[in-house]
Amino acid sequence: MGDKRLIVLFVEGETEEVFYKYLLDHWRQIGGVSIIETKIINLHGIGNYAKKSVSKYKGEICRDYPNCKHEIFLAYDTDVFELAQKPPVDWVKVEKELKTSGAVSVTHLKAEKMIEDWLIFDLDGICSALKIKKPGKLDAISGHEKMKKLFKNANRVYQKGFSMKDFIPKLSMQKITTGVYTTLSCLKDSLYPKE
Amino acid sequence: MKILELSVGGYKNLRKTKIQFGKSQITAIIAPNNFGKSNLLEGLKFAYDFIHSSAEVRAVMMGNLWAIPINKFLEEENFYFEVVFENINGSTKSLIEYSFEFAWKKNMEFQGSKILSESLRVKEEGRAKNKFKAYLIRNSIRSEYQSSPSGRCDTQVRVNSTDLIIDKMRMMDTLFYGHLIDEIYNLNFTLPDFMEAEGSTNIFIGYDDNDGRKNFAQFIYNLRDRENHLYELFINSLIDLIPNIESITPSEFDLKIDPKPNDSNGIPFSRPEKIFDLRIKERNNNQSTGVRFLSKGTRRIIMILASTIEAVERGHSFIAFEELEDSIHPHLLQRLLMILKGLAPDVQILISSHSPYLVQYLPIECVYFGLPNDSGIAGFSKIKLSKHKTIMRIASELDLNLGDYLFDLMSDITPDEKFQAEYFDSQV
Repeated sequence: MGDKRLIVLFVEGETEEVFYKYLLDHWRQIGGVSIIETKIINLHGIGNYAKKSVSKYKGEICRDYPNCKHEIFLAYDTDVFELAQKPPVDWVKVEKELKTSGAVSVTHLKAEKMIEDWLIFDLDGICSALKIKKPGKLDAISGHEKMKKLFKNANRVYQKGFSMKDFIPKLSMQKITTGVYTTLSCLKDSLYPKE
Repeated sequence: MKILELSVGGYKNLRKTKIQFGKSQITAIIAPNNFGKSNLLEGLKFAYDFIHSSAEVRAVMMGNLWAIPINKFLEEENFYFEVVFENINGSTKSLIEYSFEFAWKKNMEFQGSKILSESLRVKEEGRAKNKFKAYLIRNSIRSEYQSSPSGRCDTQVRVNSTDLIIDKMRMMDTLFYGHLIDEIYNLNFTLPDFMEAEGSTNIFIGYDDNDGRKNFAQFIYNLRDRENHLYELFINSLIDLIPNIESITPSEFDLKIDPKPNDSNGIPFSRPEKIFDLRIKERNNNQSTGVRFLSKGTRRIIMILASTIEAVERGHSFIAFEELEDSIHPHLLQRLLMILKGLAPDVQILISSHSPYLVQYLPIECVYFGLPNDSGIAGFSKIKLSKHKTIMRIASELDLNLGDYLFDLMSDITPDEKFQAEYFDSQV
């Protein structure tokens, strides 16, 4: 294993995949290109997440980047989505298996509740993308429920993990990252290490 | 109105089975082939039809050769139906429990084809004694109802063997719980039949005031003008699920326009003859095509969405799908479940399934299992609440998704009463 670093970001769905892609683009625009290569791997599918993460790590990352130090970030929601795949992923077990397979570090990038709670920081952007008027008041506890209401106003059904992927490029990453600065800072610090 | 529980039994090989609808709105029944999943759905449809039929039709239904149990362990079983639903009337929230039971036709004429019992009980939330109160009781000894708010359930009513008492109560204009009787009649049920799906647009959902049965293209065409919000929901949901579809245009073709019939002058009524279709433009096609050129899976998704929207528009409280996953890629199943919930937030959805890929997305408390037995009787049970964590833990340890593990579990269990008693709730 060489000194070159590779950051691997495992995400749970299409929304998350697009979100992190645009987040990295946003950081590139304001902070320049990171010298550290980054790979985003979407684990969503019909199979078992936990098994797939280890298998993708061994099969793709270790094969394609044998001379890098692999730093892994596991991005996931902490709240339970009713129609999520079951049983829920045992992330501690995944961490253990990834480390056993050669990862030098595994960091948990947990969305407090759900990623919708992050995206809703740019309510103006979401309403504009949905071509609806910004509601005066959004009576809903969670970002997910708020998103469902906004989509309903646009005569659409919100599908967690899928519906936002086309909208994320239209949202303000500045507003979102400001709202969840602390959670994302560990990823940013890894990509842009302080001298 | 929200349905909380449905019970049905004594239909074909189905013993009395209770389905409780949880918060999740989607409930699944899984079982091996030829077990009786369809019989459960059909039995519920039969009960709804029975309530809505005339006394004469009910008499025929009680002799339905396809439905009378011939399993030797169920041959004496009466048909039973019960529904529990929530009703909100102003600031009052009530639970309503309505049931009836009838004896199927027997060789000895006087023994069968008669309604044996009927019951209506109501529990109002917020009352000091929060218990069910009987508004209607019918059994072999008495047929009585409560006629005034301060009275008791002791007013006699005369009914014959094919009348339901609620038929008579519905005619009583001043009955203080007349709105609840109306609600029982309003409990409608959609069980789409997609067996005709191979025949392109010739799939019928519901009825049209003018034409009798209407196909789904006609339904969507009319929906555009009638309920634009639901129409937009349908179109957007379909395009979300099948992104390859760029646009959908419902079309009407009047067969009497060209050539214009020359014999229509002076006749009192010219019967309209129209054909309906959905014109679909797919991203990589150079022209729009009719529904019949779409893949079987896409046609099925269109029909599932249209049936659901139709249930919403008609105010149905319950829709059931047999093997929802048929012809649909597993990757779409989670999204389809989300779409169904979003399209019909007030409708309970019951599905039968053979797909572990679908079941893995449902809360474990929303899955009913057909448990193998030597008698050929169908009954469905849930996993005990106390075993949920155990099941999840074992699935996780085996690196299996919940659906795979549950189907594996079912294929493993030969009639094992000890195992079933340990893991599954006892039925009604």
